[in-house]
Amino acid sequence: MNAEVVVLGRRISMARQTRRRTLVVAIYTVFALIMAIAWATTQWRGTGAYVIWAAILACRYFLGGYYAGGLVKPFNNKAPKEHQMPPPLLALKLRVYQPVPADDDGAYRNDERELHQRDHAHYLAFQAVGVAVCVPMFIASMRLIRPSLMSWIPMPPDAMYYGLTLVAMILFLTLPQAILLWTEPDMEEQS
Amino acid sequence: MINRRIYLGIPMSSRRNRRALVAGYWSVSVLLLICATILFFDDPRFLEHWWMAITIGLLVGLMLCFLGGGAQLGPVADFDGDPKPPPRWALIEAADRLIYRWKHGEAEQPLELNLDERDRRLRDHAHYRAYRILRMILQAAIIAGVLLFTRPDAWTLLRRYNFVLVPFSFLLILLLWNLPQSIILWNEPDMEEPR
Repeated sequence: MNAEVVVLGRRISMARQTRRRTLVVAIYTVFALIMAIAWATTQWRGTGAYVIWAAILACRYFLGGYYAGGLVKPFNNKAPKEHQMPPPLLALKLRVYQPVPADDDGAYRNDERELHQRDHAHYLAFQAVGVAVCVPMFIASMRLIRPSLMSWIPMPPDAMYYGLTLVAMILFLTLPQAILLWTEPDMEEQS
Repeated sequence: MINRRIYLGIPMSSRRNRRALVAGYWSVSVLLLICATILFFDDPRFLEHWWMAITIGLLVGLMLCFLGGGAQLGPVADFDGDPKPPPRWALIEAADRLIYRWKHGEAEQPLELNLDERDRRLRDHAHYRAYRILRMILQAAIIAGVLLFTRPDAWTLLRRYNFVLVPFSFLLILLLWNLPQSIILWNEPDMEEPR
């Protein structure tokens, strides 16, 4: 796991567990805010996808794992492909980037302990995502069997299923990395 | 990681048999989904018939438990390491013991059901691989969803294509709950037979 991120040109140390936990809470708070604003403005019609883009950006710049950037090393244990193209405009404007690693790709490789942690985080995330996917199906079934049970919810059923599906997708994209960031102990203590 | 030597009359010590079980399971699942799609899912209110709701509920429950892992019906050991099989599956257990005795001429030796370190690593790695497969499916679904929800008539389209969405949701749930078990059964090498 990387020990720092660079935001707006500032290096922020993430060696302490409390900082990483704060980052995880902040990221999920932002997701909740985006969903609330999108619901208030358009009932997620056409704007629900912004939440998914936000999750992808959070993975790309802060969480890592399935992307080369971010705190968690790439899960596939490979160095990222070298691009001839310049970095994206958003990254340049926000000055969000990763410190340049050593000349070999060793900085991207997970050791045995990190591979076990990666697999275990996926095991834990799998359970949560499994439940999150089942919830909209269960609610849809209950609504069909007993429509009166769901009549108190002040939201059209289709919008509710869509919102729950968005939540499940966000969890699917971010949960393994969030679990790793949450559970990894302070790095100073480890050394 | 395999918690029984015989399951529904099929010896689980051989990898070939386990692969046949996995292939059969997914073939039957997909076939059932196709049949249900043709017969029922076209009607968005198919669950309003109580017999339909109960049948689908039982079928989905059986499909989710069939390979084990979370539920202890199937041949994959409980992922949390709970070694006690629940009493409700005692009938299947007893039938499998009888078949084992009939085939081998001796009582089945109980297998070690507690997960050791190797089993836990195998379990975790199977979940990681399953997650990667599901991620590819999700990426395709996200692209389709983004394309769909840029249209103003997205909700109407969703209702019209209910017969596509419902089986896809069922398939997704089956994958979520049974893909790691399938990977474990597919990859675990042959077990040694007791002498």
